[in-house]
Amino acid sequence: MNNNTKDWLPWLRGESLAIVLVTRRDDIALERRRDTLGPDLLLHLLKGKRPTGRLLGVEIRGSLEDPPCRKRPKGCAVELSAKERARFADAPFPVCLFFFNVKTDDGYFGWICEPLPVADRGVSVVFHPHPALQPLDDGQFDRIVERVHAWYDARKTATVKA
Amino acid sequence: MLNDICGERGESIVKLRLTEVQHDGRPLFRPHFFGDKWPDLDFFVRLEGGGPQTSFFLVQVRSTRRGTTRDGRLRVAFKREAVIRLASFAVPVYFIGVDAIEERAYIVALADRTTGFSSITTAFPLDAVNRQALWEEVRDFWIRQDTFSKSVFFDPTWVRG
Repeated sequence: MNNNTKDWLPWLRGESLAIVLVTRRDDIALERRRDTLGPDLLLHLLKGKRPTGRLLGVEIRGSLEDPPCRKRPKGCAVELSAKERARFADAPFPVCLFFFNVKTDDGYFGWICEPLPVADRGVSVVFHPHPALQPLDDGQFDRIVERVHAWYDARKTATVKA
Repeated sequence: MLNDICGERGESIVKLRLTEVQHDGRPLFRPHFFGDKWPDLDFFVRLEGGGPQTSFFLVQVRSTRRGTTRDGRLRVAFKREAVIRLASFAVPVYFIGVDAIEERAYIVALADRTTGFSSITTAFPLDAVNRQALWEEVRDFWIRQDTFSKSVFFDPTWVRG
């Protein structure tokens, strides 16, 4: 594989793998971001095919290899770049990282801005500069969406109480 | 909103099928998406490793969640006017239909086509064998610099114009 291919293939296939995965659900609408201000994909969570205002950001990384730390015994964590840290440190909604090995199509996911239970820290997201990765498949994505919905439900309840 | 998602999904499936890495560790094609400003065409696709000249073909994509007809044809429609516009290009032009549920893509050549259609054959899935045949067909076209009227990807039920 020449250098030129290495420049374009990981991003093109990584983005496509992410879009195909998230659009298997029929309750997701997506925006592809062309700027460098936010996540690569902005997912709108629908209910009954209607918008809810609930957002989930997805930052995408494509690679010709598995994540470099895959075989470490205590799991795998990747480091965000300085630009990514600046973009997400104060993000007000959940954002996750999708990492794809574009040769095998294996996917991994980690929280960049993790939605936390109300009891721990209030209704909040916690920023992770080194997101821990775990395998990503349809079931994992279902659990991500479920968790994000639960976070928005909790936030609504907290707002009503205030 | 969901129709747009179906289109987005179809384009991504086509990108994945065209850029699958072959046994030698490289993809055969590099697709460039035209965007919404050119409604009749979706992709300009360059051949990787096609020699010093730029060998390419053009692609229109349609996706469906309606599956196939009773005789196994993919239910994707394309209007006559658009077919004639695309078939008039002096370069290889293909139509790719995507089954958005099964995540499969099927290719047919549009050369000489003069009428619209409501389905396409599923005889040519974008798999490793057909990707290689497509690469060779387009490379041969650019070596010969001839009119594009012969293709192994003609829908057998279409009457040649």
